[in-house]
This record gives sequence, C-alpha cells and structure tokens, in this order.
Amino acid sequence: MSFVMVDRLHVRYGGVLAVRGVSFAIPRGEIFGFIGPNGAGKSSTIRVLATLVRPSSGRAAVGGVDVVEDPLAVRRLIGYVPDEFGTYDDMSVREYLHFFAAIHAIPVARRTRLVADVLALTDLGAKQNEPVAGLSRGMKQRLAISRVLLHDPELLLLDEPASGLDPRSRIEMRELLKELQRLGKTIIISSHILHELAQLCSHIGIIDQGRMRAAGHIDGIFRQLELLRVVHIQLAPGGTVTPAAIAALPGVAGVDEQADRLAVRLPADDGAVDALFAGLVGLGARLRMFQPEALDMETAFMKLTGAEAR
Amino acid sequence: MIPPLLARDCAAQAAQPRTWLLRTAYVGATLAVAAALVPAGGRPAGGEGAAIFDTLLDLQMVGVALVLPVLIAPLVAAEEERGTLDLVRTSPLHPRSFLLQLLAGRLAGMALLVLGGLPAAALAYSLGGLGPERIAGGLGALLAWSLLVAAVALRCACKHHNVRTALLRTYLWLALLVALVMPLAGAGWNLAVGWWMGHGFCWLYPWSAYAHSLGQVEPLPVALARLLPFLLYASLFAWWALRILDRRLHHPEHAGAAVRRRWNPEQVWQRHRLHRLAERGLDLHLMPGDRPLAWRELRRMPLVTFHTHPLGIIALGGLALYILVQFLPQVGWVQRQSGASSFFLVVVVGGTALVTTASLAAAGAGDRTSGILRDLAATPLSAGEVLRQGRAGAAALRWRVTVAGMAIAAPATVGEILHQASTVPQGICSVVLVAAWTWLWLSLCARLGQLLGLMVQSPAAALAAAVVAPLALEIPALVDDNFAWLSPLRFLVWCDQGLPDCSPTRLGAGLALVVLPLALLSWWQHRHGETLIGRPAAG
Repeated sequence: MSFVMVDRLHVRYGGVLAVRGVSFAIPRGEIFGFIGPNGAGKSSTIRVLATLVRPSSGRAAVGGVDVVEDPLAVRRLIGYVPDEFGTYDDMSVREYLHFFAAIHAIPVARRTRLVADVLALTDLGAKQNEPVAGLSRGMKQRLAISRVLLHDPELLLLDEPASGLDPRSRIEMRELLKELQRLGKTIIISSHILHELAQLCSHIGIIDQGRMRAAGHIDGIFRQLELLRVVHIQLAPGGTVTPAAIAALPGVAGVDEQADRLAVRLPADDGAVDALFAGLVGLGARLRMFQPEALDMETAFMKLTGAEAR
Repeated sequence: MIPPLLARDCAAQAAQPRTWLLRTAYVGATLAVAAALVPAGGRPAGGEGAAIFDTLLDLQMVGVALVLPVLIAPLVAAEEERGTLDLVRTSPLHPRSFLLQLLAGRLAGMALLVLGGLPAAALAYSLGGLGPERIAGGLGALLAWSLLVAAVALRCACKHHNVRTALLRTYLWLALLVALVMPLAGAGWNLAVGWWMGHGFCWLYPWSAYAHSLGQVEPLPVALARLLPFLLYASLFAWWALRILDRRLHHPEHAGAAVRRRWNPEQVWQRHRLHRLAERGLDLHLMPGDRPLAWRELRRMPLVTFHTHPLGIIALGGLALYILVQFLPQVGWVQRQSGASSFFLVVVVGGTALVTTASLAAAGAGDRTSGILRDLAATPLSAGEVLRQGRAGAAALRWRVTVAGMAIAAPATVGEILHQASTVPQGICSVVLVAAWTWLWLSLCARLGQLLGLMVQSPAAALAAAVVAPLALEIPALVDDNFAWLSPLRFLVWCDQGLPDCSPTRLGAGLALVVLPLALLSWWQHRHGETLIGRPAAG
C-alpha cells in the first residue's frame, strides 16, 4: 500500500488554478523527486500534504490519514521544510531545536538527548551554541532538517532544499538524505536541479502547468518515454573494432564518434548495458573506458513538458 | 510548564533594550505628569489626588491605544514575514493555541508597562480624595479598554499579511470605533429607547460610561457594570479574529500572497501612471518583478483603497451622518459653537500628517531593506525623481485622506468661517490660509518621514520615530501656552480663525518654523540624494 497518496488534487488561488488533477502514489521508504518549472504547482502540492493549504477538490493522504479530515494527525507524521524558511535569529542552534521540541510536546526529560542526537546526525554539533543568524545557507538547511527530525516523522517534505547551496553543501545534503532514507524515512523532494534528483530518487513526478505529466518509478518512466541511455567507450589504439561493427551489435541504436571517445546509444532497459559490454568483449575490443551515463532526466523533462517548459 | 511560544516571546521582549527603555520612559513620564499636577507652593488642600489620578488614567488610556497595537498587530504578520509561520503551523499546535500564546506574551508585556504607572498612582493616593472604589473603577476601565484595543489589534493581526498594514488598520479601526461606531450605537440606542444620559450618549458608548463612572462616585459593581460595553466590543472583535484566522490558515486564497481579484479604480489609475512613466523613458522592464517606487507604494498603501471599500464608504457616510445628528440640529448654522471647525481641522490635518509621515517612514525603510532602492539606483532615473516617486504614492493617499476629511468637516468649517469672518473676502482669506498652511505642513511631514525611513533603515524604528516627530512639536504648546506659536496645529487654528491676536513676529516665526525646515530638507535631499538612495558618489 502507498504511504503517500494524492488523487485528482485541485488547488485554486482565487481565479488561478495552480494544481489541476494531480495524482501520484509513493511507497513507504522511497525518495520521490518532484520536478517542474517555476509555478508548475510543486509547492502547492507539497503545501497540501503539509496541511498548510486545503485542496479545492481531490484527496491527499499520508499514511492512510486524510490531510483535510485529520490535519493534526498528519502533522505528527510529516516534517516540512519550505523553500523560503525563516529562523528565530535571536536564538542559538540548540535553543532553536529545544524550542521546536517543546512545540512538538516532546517531554523535557527526552529533549536534551534528542537534540544531541539530531545535531550529531546532521553534523551540527560543533555549531550548537552559535546564533542561528550567523549560520551559512547550507548550515541553515541542515538546521531545518534537524528541526523536522525532532518528532521523528515518517514523511519528509522538502521544497527546493538544494536551492542556493554551493556544490559541497549539495553533496552533503544528498548524503544526508540518503542516510535518512536508510533510516526508513519517505522523502518528497522538489528541485530544479535534475541531475541531483537523478542520483537520489527512485520515483519521480514531472509536473507542468498544474498537471502531472508523468509519475512513477524512474526506470518505468524512461522506458515509457523510449529514452536512450548513453554509454561512453574509449578503445585502445591499434585495435580492429570499428564504430560500424559496434553499431551492428544487437540492441545498439546508434554510435556517435566524438573527439576521444564513442557515444553508444542504447534503449533504457536494465540489460542493455551488460549486453553491450558482452558484445564488445565478443568483438575482441580492448577497452580503455566503459562509462554508462546516468539516465538523462533533462531529456525526459523536456520531452514531457515540451515547449511550455522553456 | 510555560507554553513554548509564550516563553520565547517573553524572553525575546526581555532581551530587547528598547523594552527597558520604554518602561523606564513610561515610569518617568507618569511621574513627571503627576509631579507637574501637584499644587505648587505648599501643602495640598486635599482632594487633588482624584484629579491627578483621572489625568493619569486618561494618559494611560492613550498610552495603551498607542503602544498595544504595536505589540499585538504584528503577531501573525511578523511570523509570516520572518518565514516562521509555516514552521509553527505544521506542528501539532492548534492555531488558536498559537495565537493565544503569542497574545498572552504581548499582554504580559503591556501589563508590565502599565504597572509602571503605579508609583504615580501612589503619589496621587497620598494627596487624598481618592478611594479604593475609584481606583478599582479606573483600573477596571483601563483593563477593559486594553482588552478592547487588544481584540481590535488581534483582528488586524489575523487579517493582514504585513506588519505595516496590520498596524495602520488597527489604528484606523480604533479611530472608527471611538469616533464613530460606538457613538452611533449609542445614538441609535438613544433614539430607540429614549434613554438619554447627560450629554447624549447612552451606556453603549464606552467612553461615555467611563467618563460617567469617573465623574461621580458610584458603588463598585455599578461602575464595573458600565465597563461591559468595552468587553462586548472586545468579544465581538476576538470572535471575528478567530473566524478570520481559521479562514486564513485553511483556505488557499487566504494562505499566501494570492490576492482576490476585484475591480479597483485605484489600479486603473496606477496603470495610467505607469504609461506616463514609460512615455518619459523609464524602462519598466529593467526591474522584472519589481516596480517603480510610486507603483509599489500605491499598490501596498493600506489606506489608499479605503474609500473604495464598502466598509470605508459606510464608515465615511456614518461619520457625516453623526456630525449632522450631533451638531447641526442642536446649534444650527448661525449659532454654532466657536471652535468646532478648528477641532475638525486639527483632527483631519493632524491625522493626515501622522499617516503621511508614518507611511513614508515605513516605506522608505522598506525600500532600503528590500533592495528596491538598489535596483532603482541602477536605472537612468535621477535621485530626485526616485525620491519624488517614493513620495508620490503617499501624496495620493494624503490627498484622499485630506479630501475625505475636509468633505466631512466642510459644513462646520465653512459655516464657522463665514460666521466669524466679518466680510466674505476675509472668510476666503482664512480658507486660503488654511489650505496653504496644510500643504506646507504635510509637505514637511512627507519629506521628514521619507528621510527618517531612508536613514533609520528599520521599518519599525522609522515608524515610531515618524509618529513621535510631529507629536514632539506639539509638546511645548501643551506645556506652556506662551509657546503655542511653536505648534503647527495651533498655527492652523489661528489660520482658521483669520489670525486674530497674532503679532507679526509670531506669525513670521510660526511660518519660518515650517518653511525653513522644508527648504532645508529639500536642499539637503537635492544635494545628498545620490547617497540617500545608495548610489555611489561620482568620482
């Protein structure tokens, strides 16, 4: 059974229909990447799941609990990090976490230990006595995630958590999210950085102009779109294998000759890469490099959203 | 265990130096007023304590009306502007619990401030003439008035998405309540039941009840029962606030920056203004997402559309009706009491000056902190034009408030001026003098407010400074009548009365008091405009 279920969701702001019949489902313990251009309806959908916005029609449920019927129960299951979040700048990191622990009615006896654990998990222990105002953007994002972990939610809703972060902070954030997934959390993450999501998510949803263009397991979507996977190979000099011979291998859709390598295009199914490798070995090719590219999410995004996404 | 939001709010207030400064100033001011009222040169004859206590109570009522909105109106908007509202809303805390915790924190702050008046009250008690009933009745009135102010501020806190709007709307609501709604309710009750009390208002008008209870010694239960109307209005506003909060927190159209679309004549005028700016070579696309100052100022100005709002129309119509009912039938056109038009003028012009200065101060500081000034500094606009645009929105507001106020005050003003002036030219001369003086005074307030906003760079601090600045000019006149010529509002009254008993020296000095600073400010802004808007100095 899906842990998060959104069914024909509509959200209207005055005369503007921001979300138009969005539906998707996320199994427990998965990371769901929510992709779409600005104003596509990502944040509105996430805010519905966070019980901040009541849907105009349709249904959304977390852990089987309807967000409209029992928002307080849903709030115990979720941790929400908005794209633009504020902090109480007059507090230290530790005071900030104690404050939110108190708001979540966590008993005083448990708070000190809990805050220490969360600080350790997010690697903020060294900063615990520093004022929140003095933290960098990356540190503040970590603090925001620390905050939502205090009440041990099962679902994390992260709205553009990587925006404004430098490359190092992004990598640290990605590792943190993978760690949280290992701890059994279900995560919904929206982002514009498609490359990041491709490395992180098992499921994705592509939304545009309030409509969900595709949603589901990442491999299934790529197969559905008939997208090609690219494998970069570099042959040792003096060999007899030609690009034409590689192009003739079964399953190869095409070969492009580049400056120092060949780009081999394959269908996006799981066995295609293995079959290519076996075929090259069969041809007697001496390989210097064999590098499959991650699935091309940008192509998928552009194909699904078309000209409207530009 | 103390609720977390309440604890955080109290700790944050206590950590601010300005809280302690305010409390010290409050204690000092009440003691100074009490000391000034103690009979000089000998022992008191007895009974002066009651008069001092009443004066102190009046001042504290005014203090509560001024300070409490500043504490309560930003409750929700400040959390929203800081970006912490959603964090609290996604916690298991019930929205009403969230609101009550914050409210309790602010009321505690206000209670501590009011307690600062106790030394002065003790001084009054020691002078005699003051019994426990009177003290209890007075403090009860203060408490009831505080609750009413708090409830009105709470309603605006729940309704509005930015601090400035919430604050200004609170003051507006309070002014409407005190000057209009409660008297009208009282008048309506009078007409229906025929139950007149003394000066024409019934017990539904809380100020009347308060004045009545202070004017005579009554049994404590009766005095306290007279305060029920305060609580009635407070309950109504609190109920309204909670209804708005529920809607705001649950329905998408109230949840964010989305604005209900409705036809608004103000926007038509704004578009026209934008076309004019574009014709003059200002490329509006230089700032995607932002707009020139005048446009932004008009768009965000909380009072600009007041007269187009149904409530505003009802309020203005009601106020006109109130004046007709209260004044014209009683005294007629010819036998009018002297001073009625001056009273209206002072209220309208003084109120407009305060609104203008405060709006421009907050807008100037907001422009600086939001970075819009930096964007404008990158355009080909001259510094003078940028500053002028900043004042343009407020000028539109000023014009509307003044016209609306003058329209209401016009029957009394024209009637009195014509009645007092011996000849028609003399009457016309008075009208011209009033208009010219009003224009000068409001121009000075506008420039002063803008300058304060741009220099202080904190909307709240600029707002406070801008409110204090025009009021400060009135203090010498209040302390000693010999310094009346220093007061712009008193000068306005003289203009209204055709400048009687006004020596040329005082006339010149009074004029210079406004004209010279205005010229000085204009010159200074012209000279240092580039620095003021944050543009690097040439060379």
